Amino acid sequence: MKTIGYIAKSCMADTDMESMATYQRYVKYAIDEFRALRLSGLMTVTNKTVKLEIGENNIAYLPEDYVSYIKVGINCGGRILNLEYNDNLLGAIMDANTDCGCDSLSSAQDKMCSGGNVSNWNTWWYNYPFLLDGQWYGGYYGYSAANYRGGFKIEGNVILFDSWVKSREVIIEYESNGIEGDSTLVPEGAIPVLEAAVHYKAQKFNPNLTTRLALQPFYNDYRVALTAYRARQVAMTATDWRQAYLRNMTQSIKR
Amino acid sequence: MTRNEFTDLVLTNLGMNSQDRKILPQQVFWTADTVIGELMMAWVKQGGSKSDFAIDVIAEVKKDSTLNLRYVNMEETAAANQRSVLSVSKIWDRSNPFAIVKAGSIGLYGALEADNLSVPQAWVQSNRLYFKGLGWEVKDVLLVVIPTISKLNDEQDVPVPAELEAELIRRTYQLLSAGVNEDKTNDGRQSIA
Repeated sequence: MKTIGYIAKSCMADTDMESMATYQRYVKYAIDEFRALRLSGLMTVTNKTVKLEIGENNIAYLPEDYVSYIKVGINCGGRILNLEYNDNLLGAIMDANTDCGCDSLSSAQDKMCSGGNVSNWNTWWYNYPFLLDGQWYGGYYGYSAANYRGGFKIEGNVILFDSWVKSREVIIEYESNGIEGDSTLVPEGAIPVLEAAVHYKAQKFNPNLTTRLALQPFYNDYRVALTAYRARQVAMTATDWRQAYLRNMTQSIKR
Repeated sequence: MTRNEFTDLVLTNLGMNSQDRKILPQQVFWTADTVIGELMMAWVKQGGSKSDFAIDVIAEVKKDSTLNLRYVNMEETAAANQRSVLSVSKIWDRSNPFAIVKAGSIGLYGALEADNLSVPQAWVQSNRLYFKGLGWEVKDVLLVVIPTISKLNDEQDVPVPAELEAELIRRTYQLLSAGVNEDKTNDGRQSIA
């Protein structure tokens, strides 16, 4: 894989540039195209796991490249305890002034960390979201709302945590848009598309360009590269063909 | 061809010796700078490179405490003007140059992912070259600049391709000779002074 910085420098080399004066602009063009391809499902999905600090009011700020969460959990002796989503959490209005002072839920995390009265991962049911004794348990990927209530809610660019979450750091696995400036990784097959897109956009926004005719070759190159990439992305692999063949065989009339 | 040799050649062509100069060396430098600009544009159009006219300069990085930015004083770099910086890099890392950005677009890009660059950013504002993201361990930087001749030393080579040296001397001579006033003959009238 190459980076978007590579794309930008490659395009600058194509046009025989000698200074890095256009580098940042070309990086932007490449990022724009990368985003468009990702939204079209033509770019590999990037999942990340990061550690976020839980700050005042029990909130943590999501990374800028966040798209949607996969798991949110806390570290307990090297084991991640994943929390469940709770849509009923209230955020900023639940400050200290509105706190009744009751401590009834404050030990919930302690219970979780010690295995609690229900959530022992050594039990056979822990790894499966089963209905047990009339209650649903979240299983491995989340502590059940039936026992501790959900622990977090995502609102805008922050994660709100229930007051019983006492950890000051949270581990979140999330789907990222994959964009990290000029270090953004680009799959090999997408490089020609991004390069053609950067050249096309550089021309498109070139103030000296006076006719659309001059833009057409760059647009054509871009469309050809994009069409080829799309065709490759949706093409069936050898495994796909074999599966299709087998499916066809089982559905055919036996003689 | 050093600057000294170039100046002497032009002045000699103008028929002046070192004792009888009606043109200061500085005038030669300024004129040559304008000629070099023209030659460079023609050279680039023919497929040449701007870097054929450039020199390497190692400059000390200083700190502006008010802006909390680090910078290089352009006056110390012999750069002709703001746009004549071709490359900035760490001294030992020429192949990984910094991104040269526009001073006015820093706020704009600050809100975009494209601001997240793996190399430091550099921009020229007034007579300073400012840096963003430059490690504190970097004390000096390597600049590739197109210089102004007047800021070179006498013994430094004038950075033009060898093919253009004769043309530089010829055009500089032509421009200067047009400006040299011939001695006027006394018309016999009494001067007021």
